[in-house]
Amino acid sequence: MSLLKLEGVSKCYDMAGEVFYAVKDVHVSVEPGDFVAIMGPSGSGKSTMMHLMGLLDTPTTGEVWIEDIPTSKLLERELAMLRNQKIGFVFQSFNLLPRTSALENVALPLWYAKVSDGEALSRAAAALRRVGLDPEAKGANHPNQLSGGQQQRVAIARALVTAPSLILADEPTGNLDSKATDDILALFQSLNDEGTTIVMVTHEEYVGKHAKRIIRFRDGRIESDEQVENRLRRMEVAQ
Amino acid sequence: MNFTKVLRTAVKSLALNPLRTFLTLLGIIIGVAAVIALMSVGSATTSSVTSRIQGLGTNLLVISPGQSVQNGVSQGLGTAQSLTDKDVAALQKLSVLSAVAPDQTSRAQVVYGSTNYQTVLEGSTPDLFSVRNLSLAAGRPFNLVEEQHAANVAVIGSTVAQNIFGNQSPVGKTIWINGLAFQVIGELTTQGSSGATNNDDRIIIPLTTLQNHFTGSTNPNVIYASAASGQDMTRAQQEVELTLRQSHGLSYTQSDDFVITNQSTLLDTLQGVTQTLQSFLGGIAGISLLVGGIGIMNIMLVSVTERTREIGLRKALGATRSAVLKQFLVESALVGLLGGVIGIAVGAVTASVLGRVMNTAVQVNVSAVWIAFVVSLVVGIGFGIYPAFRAARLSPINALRYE
Ligand SMILES: Nc1ncnc2c1ncn2[C@@H]1O[C@H](COP(=O)(O)OP(=O)(O)OP(=O)(O)O)[C@@H](O)[C@H]1O
Ligand SMILES: [Mg+2]
Repeated sequence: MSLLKLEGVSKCYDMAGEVFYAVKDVHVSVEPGDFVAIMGPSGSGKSTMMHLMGLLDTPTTGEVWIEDIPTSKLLERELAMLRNQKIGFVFQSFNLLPRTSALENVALPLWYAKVSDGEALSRAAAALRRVGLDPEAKGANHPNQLSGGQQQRVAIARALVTAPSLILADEPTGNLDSKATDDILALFQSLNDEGTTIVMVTHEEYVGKHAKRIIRFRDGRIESDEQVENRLRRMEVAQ
Repeated sequence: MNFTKVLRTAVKSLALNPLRTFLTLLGIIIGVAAVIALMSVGSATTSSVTSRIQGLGTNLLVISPGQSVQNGVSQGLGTAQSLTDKDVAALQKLSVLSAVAPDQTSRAQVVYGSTNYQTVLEGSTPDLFSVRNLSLAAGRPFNLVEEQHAANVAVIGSTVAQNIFGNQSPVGKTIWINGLAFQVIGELTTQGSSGATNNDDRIIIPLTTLQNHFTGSTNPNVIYASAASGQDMTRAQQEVELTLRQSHGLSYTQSDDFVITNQSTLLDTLQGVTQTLQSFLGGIAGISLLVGGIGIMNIMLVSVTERTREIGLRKALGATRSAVLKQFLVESALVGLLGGVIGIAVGAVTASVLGRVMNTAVQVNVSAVWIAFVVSLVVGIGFGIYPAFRAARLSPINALRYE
């Protein structure tokens, strides 16, 4: 059973009467335990594709399957539940709620899952610890009181907290320096070693080389889909 | 998300822009405060006027001449000279009435020592005192014998007493009214004013004395009558009307040339006026709450636009449409509620200040408070629905990609 499967998925926009395909007829499946990097030039459709995978966007044609569930006929409420339970998102610009503590940011998906307050906070603290942040020291900090790398860790903890089968990350290192980039990649690799499936969009070869598999995009189509040779490995270092 | 979480989120987002939130609240506050203050002062005034009218005696009938019509133009109430002493005699025979007091008024120049004073001179029978509930602070009213002999005796109002005698006791003194000597035999207790007339600024003398020396006419300006105790006011009024129509020889095609009022019709009129006033105030309140509501809607729409990315993020994390809807509705309901509560407080304070200034006992109208509370909540939710729906219906991807 594939964790995620796209069948003939296209997304097109009507631009001044002309049909523009951002993603065109994509067939791809992601297996449990996979670590996929989606690469390609700017505007090639990487983000669009990731949004389709994460059920944030609906394809114009084709079907997105999540664990054998076809999603095109699902109600908005059911999609929200799948996003909450099965998928964790990490964004380039972190997208943390401002003026909200790190701990509460991480607990947010659990609150939407109607998990009790006490349990949500203790699970959020555990997730923060997992990404190398001390909830005692940094849990009460607001996002503007954290470094970029720390903010992205909080965002990853938030993606992890519901124990999803799949983490989707769009340019997770795009706003980070090389040191913080390495730290995040090490974190992803160790999460992947523990069994979390990761799909990561990047346009940097160096970042892509840390995945197990690279899917290259051009003009909305898959250009190539290969396993990574000479994969780079990073070891997690204690923060 | 449980309700306390939603509430906390709403409070947080309102606290983020304190000035903006306050300005939004202001619309509701002003509307609600105006309603509370005006309603409270309004009902206080009404009840004080009502009790004053009831104090005049509920069995009182006032018969005034009708309007005289000159060249087709009506001249206003009391302009016709339609009441006569014959009417009075006829009314005195009615068993539904316990007392009838014909009344004439004139103006008088009063002299006492070196003091000169202008006042109203009223002539009536001794029955006037019982019919109009007039009590005396000192001395006695004039009696039937004095009335029959047109004695020069006078009962004076408290304002007159104050102006002529100052702190001296007026009873037993002699005053000069238009050059005639009168003995003051009594002083009225202070009555207060009704409308523009000061009931304490008058001198009451026997009707016969007034007719002989001042007016020269036997036609009363007005007739006061008391219905006998236990009598139905409506029946008493009907009998009076019938008697006067006969006495005036009116055929059935002619309308009354006199007007009968009693306190219950006065109360009815007052209630009508109060009702008009209240619906007028309600209208003002409605308009200001409408404006306040539009303010809420405006700010909520701005807030939804500002937080488009946040909405997208929340949806990506698993927020359902109803969760987003709830979040924004709670926020606008909170604005309404907060505005309502502050408005009620401001209105209550304003009402009590106004009460002190106007020297009436103002009580904050409890039902107005409840109505204001509920209405401001409804306004908050009502005008928040559209922005909340806009937020809930945002697609997560458009919201996330929003710049
Ligand atoms: N709402 C939209 N309406 C019209 N065109 C759109 C819309 N969203 C995306 N596109 C187009 O779809 C194409 C793919 O966009 P996408 O964001 O997926 O690119 P990308 O591969 O992520 O690029 P980058 O590396 O710069 O992030 C672009 O040409 C973009 O202009
Ligand atoms: Mg992109």
